[in-house]
Amino acid sequence: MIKGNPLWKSYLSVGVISLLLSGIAYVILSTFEGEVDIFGEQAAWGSNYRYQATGTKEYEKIGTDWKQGIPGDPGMYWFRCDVHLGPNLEASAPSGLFAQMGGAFELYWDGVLIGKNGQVSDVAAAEVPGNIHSLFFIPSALDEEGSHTVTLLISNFMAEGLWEDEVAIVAGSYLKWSKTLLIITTFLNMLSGIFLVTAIYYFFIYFISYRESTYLLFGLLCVSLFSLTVFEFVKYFYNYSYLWGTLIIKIKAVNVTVIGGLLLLYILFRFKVPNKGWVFAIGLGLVLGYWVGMDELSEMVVYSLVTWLVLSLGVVGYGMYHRMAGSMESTLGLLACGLVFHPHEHSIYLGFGFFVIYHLYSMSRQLKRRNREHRESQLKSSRLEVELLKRNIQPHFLMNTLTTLMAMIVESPKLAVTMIQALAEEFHVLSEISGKELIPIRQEITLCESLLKVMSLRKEVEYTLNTQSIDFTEKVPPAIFHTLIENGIVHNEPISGKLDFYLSFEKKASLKKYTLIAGGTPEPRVNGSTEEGTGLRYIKARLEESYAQHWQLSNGEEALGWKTEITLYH
Amino acid sequence: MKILIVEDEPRIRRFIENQVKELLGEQQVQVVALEKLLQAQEYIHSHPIDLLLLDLNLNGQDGFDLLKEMVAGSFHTIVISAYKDRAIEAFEYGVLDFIAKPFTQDRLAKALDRFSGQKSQQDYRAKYLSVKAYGRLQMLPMEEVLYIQGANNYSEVYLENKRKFLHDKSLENLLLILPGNFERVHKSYIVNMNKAAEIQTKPGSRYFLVFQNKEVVPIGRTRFKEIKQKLLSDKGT
Repeated sequence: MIKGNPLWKSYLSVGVISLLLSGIAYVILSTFEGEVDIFGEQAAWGSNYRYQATGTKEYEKIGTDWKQGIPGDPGMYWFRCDVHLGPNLEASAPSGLFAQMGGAFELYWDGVLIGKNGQVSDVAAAEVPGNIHSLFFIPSALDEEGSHTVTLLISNFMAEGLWEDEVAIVAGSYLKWSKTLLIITTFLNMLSGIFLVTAIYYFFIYFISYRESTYLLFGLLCVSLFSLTVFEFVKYFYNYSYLWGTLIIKIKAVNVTVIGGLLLLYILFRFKVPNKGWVFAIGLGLVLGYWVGMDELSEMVVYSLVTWLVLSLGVVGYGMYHRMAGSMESTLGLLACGLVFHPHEHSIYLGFGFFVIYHLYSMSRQLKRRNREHRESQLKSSRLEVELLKRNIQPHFLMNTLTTLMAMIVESPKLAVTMIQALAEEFHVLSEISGKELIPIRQEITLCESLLKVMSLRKEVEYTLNTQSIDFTEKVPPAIFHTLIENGIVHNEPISGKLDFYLSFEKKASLKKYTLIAGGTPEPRVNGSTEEGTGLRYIKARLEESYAQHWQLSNGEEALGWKTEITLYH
Repeated sequence: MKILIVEDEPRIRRFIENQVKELLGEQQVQVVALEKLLQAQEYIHSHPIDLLLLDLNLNGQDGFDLLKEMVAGSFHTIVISAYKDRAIEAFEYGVLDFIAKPFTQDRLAKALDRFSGQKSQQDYRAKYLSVKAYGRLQMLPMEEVLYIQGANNYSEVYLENKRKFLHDKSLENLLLILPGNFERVHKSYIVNMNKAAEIQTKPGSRYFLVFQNKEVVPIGRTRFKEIKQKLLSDKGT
């Protein structure tokens, strides 16, 4: 949990968002209710309206037997149903019939032809595909209270059985219907705008600020949501023929399946679950299975989407169990995604829209956390810099060096000059590197050598640094070997006025290893001895800063002296 | 006079050794210079010394633990350290002087003067007396000390609560590090004047100092006047 942001606060804000979203869902879904949909389930809600379906829907395939349900197989059909017309309360307003259909048709009202869309035919070659949207006046002479019969002659040779769910014939006020189309267009524009802007924003975050798969995946998810809305609402701008419509239905099916897959991928990367690859592979395997093995496009889509969402819920469930930040919002977002399965034509956008909103909320909290971590790491970095500089102006080093210098000036002024040069060299390098997170190994070795020169003059011991198979393209955190050498000088007894250090490097496929051996006789080391303790703590903090958890430090006595190994993993 | 120098930096060690010989005269002193404190502890065990010039890394508890042990000895300790900010603390434990590195010959001369007792005015004095009792070191707060009685080369420290401790330093050596309220009232007694109540005169010009807790110590005839004055002026203020 975020410090200073107690649990109840986040529960409260998630609760408020949820309430708000359910309100929006209720308003939007109920806006599009009401008209008598002669085909769809909404027929039952039509009782308060002027038009009421009375008879059972009937289809007749010419030349063959009667069939229940909306025609899927290509052919020419008669369709007939009875509607009950209430009293016309707005005498001046004309009534109309709106049709969305994958076919060519002729529309009859009480046996009178009131509209045509394309050219109906009983042979495929002769059919001229109709546009997918059409709106017809009901002539005022026929607009009377009482029972009426709506008859359609339909041919759908190019529908490929894909239009069963996309067909709607709705009767109502002509003006009201024109307005409804505008409202739907606005709604879809708004949604696609949300998805597009969010996608662009997250691409910017990914390409400019944080190169993390989560941001890229969220951006891609929003792009595919955007494309889905575009394919959905393009018909409100351009009334294309149902031939194109058939293609668009296929594209949308693929698009929805891709959205589900991206959603799972995003959730997998967001919650850093183990075996990401396997979870995704299971989902992908199942989905491919549906697409290969099933006949109905709509079934493929529903099964795929359910599979992706169930797997995603499993992952956020794992996140909730491990109390991962953001898992609660994600779960709510996924549950809101369940709206996708609401039968309303546009609920799929609403469902995904809510998912995006929950995740925007949770990701903005994640960004806040990130910023805090970033500030902390900066602070830590400058603390380490201060520590490095402090250790080199600490009295034990600096004052003893100055005292030696005073003694030297009396004893041997020439040596004093050499000493001042060595000391200056060490401080030059120190000031160059102290603010950096990583420095070339060459610079680190120069630093160590200048320290050894100062110490050789001070202690009258011959200190040497021997390097072996160092890769000079490598970088290391500043002053880590310098610190180890300082510790070695304090804790190792020279043998007949000599003390050798050995630094070697080893590179393997998965790791890099530096070994520093301090020669001489190691004195027994007390755990937590102050100076060695602060030195090691500095080294560990630097390694942690540069390599996170991918490092290891070990030390111990061996034949040549005191050995320290620093292993860096890829 | 035997002086022991402990300093792990060879050049500084030689420097101190030469300076001391130069200041005190090579014939007057016997100087031994060692590298490690461990060697010094061994050396002191078998060779009595008068003064220890000790380089100590006072950054951390280890250095002070060693210091407490040294100041409990019969000899005086002058600390030479890079950690100037720990000087007051070192004085409180009873070092004779604290020389911050880097130092000049003058500063070393001043410290040696202090040792010779020529100039004993000092900014900081000991707050504790470090004593070895029952095989371990104990730090006695000065304000609990009532009086100290000399006994040959060592002293007996009497506390207000009637407990008695032995200290390895002679009365003369202790005087150099004790705070100003400690007064030598007799050849064998140093008292904490803050605890004194009155002076008793007995027949035959025998004088006694009575403490607030009614304990009594003798006052030397030659010192009586001075002590009486001090006690009166203390009471006056």
